[in-house]
Amino acid sequence: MALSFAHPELLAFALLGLVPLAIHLFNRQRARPKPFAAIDFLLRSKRRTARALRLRKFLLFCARTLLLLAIPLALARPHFVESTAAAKPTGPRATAIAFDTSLSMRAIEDGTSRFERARALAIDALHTLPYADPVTLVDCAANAEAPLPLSFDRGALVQQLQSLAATFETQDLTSCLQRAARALAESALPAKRILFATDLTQAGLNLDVPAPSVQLPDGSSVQPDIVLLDAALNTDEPLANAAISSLDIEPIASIGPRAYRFAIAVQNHSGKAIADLPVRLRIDGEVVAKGFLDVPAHQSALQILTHRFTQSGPTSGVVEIDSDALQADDSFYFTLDVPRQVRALLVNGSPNPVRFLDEAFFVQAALDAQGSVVRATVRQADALDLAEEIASFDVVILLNVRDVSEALAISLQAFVEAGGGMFIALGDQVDADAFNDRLAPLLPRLLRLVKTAAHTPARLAHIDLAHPALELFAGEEAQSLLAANFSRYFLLESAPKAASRTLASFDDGAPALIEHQVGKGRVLLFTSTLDRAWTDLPIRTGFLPLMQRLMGLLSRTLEVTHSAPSRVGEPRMFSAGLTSGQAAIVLSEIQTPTQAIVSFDAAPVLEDDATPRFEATTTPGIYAVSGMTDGKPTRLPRFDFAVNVDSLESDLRRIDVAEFKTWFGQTHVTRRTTDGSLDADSEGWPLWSLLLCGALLCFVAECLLLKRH
Amino acid sequence: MPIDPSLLTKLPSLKLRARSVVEGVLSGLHKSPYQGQSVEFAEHKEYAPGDELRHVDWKAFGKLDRYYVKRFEHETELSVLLAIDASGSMNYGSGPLTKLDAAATLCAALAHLLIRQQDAVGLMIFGGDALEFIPPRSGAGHVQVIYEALDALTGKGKCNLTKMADALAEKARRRSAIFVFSDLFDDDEAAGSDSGSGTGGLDALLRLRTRKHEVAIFHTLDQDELDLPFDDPMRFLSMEADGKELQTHPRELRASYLEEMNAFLAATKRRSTELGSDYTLLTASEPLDRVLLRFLSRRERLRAGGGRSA
Repeated sequence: MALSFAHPELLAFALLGLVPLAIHLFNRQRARPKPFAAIDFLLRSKRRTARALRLRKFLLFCARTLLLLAIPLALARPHFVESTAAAKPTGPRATAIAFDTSLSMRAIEDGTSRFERARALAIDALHTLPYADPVTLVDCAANAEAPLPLSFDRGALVQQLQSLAATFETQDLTSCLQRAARALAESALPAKRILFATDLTQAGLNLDVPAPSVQLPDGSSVQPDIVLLDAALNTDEPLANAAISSLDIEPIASIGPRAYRFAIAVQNHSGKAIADLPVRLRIDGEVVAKGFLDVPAHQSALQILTHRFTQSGPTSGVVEIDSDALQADDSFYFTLDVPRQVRALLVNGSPNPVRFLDEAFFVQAALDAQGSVVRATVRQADALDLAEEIASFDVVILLNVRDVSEALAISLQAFVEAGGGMFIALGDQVDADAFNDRLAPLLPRLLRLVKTAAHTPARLAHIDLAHPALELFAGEEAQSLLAANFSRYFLLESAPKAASRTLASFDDGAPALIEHQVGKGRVLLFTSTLDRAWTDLPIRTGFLPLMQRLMGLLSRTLEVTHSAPSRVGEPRMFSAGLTSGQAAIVLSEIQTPTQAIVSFDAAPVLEDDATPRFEATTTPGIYAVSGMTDGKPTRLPRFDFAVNVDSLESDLRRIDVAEFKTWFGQTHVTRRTTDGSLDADSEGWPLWSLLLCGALLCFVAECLLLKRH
Repeated sequence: MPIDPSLLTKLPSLKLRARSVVEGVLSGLHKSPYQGQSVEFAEHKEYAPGDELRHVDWKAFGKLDRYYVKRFEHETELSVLLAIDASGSMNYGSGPLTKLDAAATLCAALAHLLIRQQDAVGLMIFGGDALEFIPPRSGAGHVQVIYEALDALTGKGKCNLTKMADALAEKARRRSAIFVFSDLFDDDEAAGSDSGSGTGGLDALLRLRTRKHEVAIFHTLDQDELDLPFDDPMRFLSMEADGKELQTHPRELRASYLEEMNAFLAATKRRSTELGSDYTLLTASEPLDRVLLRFLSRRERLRAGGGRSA
């Protein structure tokens, strides 16, 4: 342990400690002779008070000397450093300013953000550095440019600091310090130093990895001195902050179509419970739902809001709570594509006066259920105007239809190729040869014959849960389909067509449900019946969602879902998804929440195997996407996306300064705060303040001695 | 209007200074308390049993048919012996007059005043071991002798109050009023006492009362000795050639010094009062006519109150 000084040049003023001695000697010299008649009284007084006087003079001398010594010593900012640190070379130091620009630095304390406070500290520290110290600035932002070479140009560095801006992202401050250490490695100076401007919140620092060190040209490494520019004002308790940590949006069928349930999780990061916190749902700038929430200290609570949209189509909104120290996490943005109504034509090939025996009964019931966006219309298979009527529907469902006319087959093919959806359910009325003949272009496979289960009914053995239409049945939900019994089903030709995909198959391997892409549309072939003639599937719990999902697939409304919002800094991926087969979409530009327009450099085309990405998700809010469809510029609201801040940054609890210093091992760490104080790393009172206290005590002692005299 | 000591120093001789003081005194005094030789009628008092019959004014009885007794101012000639301490310490003075100057001027003024009243005035000067004595006499020419002796006065040697008392006892054979002018810094006392309030030498002076002498002490000090007003570091030297010196910062000793000095003053005054002597603190910077007037007024009050007058 050795004593070191932040401003050793001020130690020269310690010579002031000799002033009392000089005054004493001077007074002895200049004592002028004075004949005095009452000298005997003086002598007696002197004899009587000699001891007390000597003691008092000694104390006075000591108090004055210590007072004059303590002040320059305190101004020189002494601190103890370990012997290794003491052995470090002195002289100019290569210095890097590592600047934390993460979201937590946006927190407001006493009317000023921590970022502004850190910037003022950094500029102040920059001005106090010796001119011989080369300096560089390291922005901790993830997409920040590489630091410039070390420079002596203070003006340029101040300009760089002035141009810094606080981000909304979570930053890895540990790697930022490592970047600063790498920047220092470029200097040949043996002494290194990092000025670390941060609020020391827990989100950015990982103290489990080794502390950064600077690699020297000879292969050895040295730990830089750390000057912690602490931007936080209140270091004892974290700032009170509540944040919306997550948002789940689900359709709520019990209320009706286009009704949604918003589950808003609010996390209270403060030590005090929050009562009656207003939570608002804002759509198109208007509050459409509002609730009040009690959130216990250091816990989260869930607020449920519901809203029924009056119109379908893409929309966006925000849920928000009252502003607090950190405003950015008080809002949570989302985008939602409210599904449009799907018109389905049910062509009944086996009508029956008894409703539950009717071929279309179960399908119609499933599609017309409460909350469903599908509106079903039933027609007899022999209706004369079917060929003309199908053009006004989104989906056509053939239910155990014996045969289709030539005209109907042509209409159906044109309908599907134009983007329509077609569902074919088979049955005992189906003429396989006629189907193979008339609907061959639409069938994923040709029909062969009906298979009847001998002793035990067949069951579904495989379901393609990766398919968007069936992913709903992942997990235990699949049992509602797997438990269905099938007594009869059609076998198909073994050679599959191109652009077909088996979505479900029986336990004997025979296909049960096949998807086939035809032109811009889709065809689904179900090899059994959709009534109870061949199977009990229609009375299984999975039947209703299965039918609604399949209708969504065929009508291209399946992707009409709430797209998960991105986090700030995460790239946004665009995929063709279920839009494949439609007109080519070219992404051209994106309007950010700050109204800035960001153009795509290469005008990416949304295709099956292409996933263009957008990197500049720097600001929370709604990003509006525009592009080209069929060569025409158009807004693409269904590709709009929301970006929100990372809830990790909402937790403003700080890393203990002592823990931070321990991380750096024996390296000396100095902490500079906004009140101008600069403390050493020693526990308890910093040495300079003890010296100032000592000086104050000396001054008081001197005053008391003089007053008593 | 009191006479400033700085004005007194501008007068060329002690004689003029003394006259200035006396004139100041006379202008402020309605009646001199020192009327010794002539037996003058003062007042009538109605006879009461016990009054001497020889003082009954028969003429008044004849005119008024009532008995009145005559009362007189003084009935005896006054012999005054002025004793002045001319040791080295009396040479100290922070103002225009040293302590010795002030004492000599006051002596001369008193001599002038007394001889003017036809009283006999003598002078005794103690300077170290030397002794100069002028026997008490009256007459206008005698005051000139006293003036000359006081004019030639120089302070030297040490002060020894016991020796001074012995010499006074020897020289003053008849009943006299003895006025002593001294700073009372008795060398023997200083050496022998730590308290600073020793009054051994003073007691020897005051014991002259046992020989029927009237003793009045003029405690002559300088204002510096009362206040110790010095601030700078100093090397204090003794003024009585005894080699004593002290280098110190006066501020540090002031409180203790003043304590010593005040105790000394209080003890001196108390002892003087106890032994029936008159005590007057004479500071060199004080207007001397005022001191003299104060002294005379006090004497007059004592006489009027039935005390013995000089």
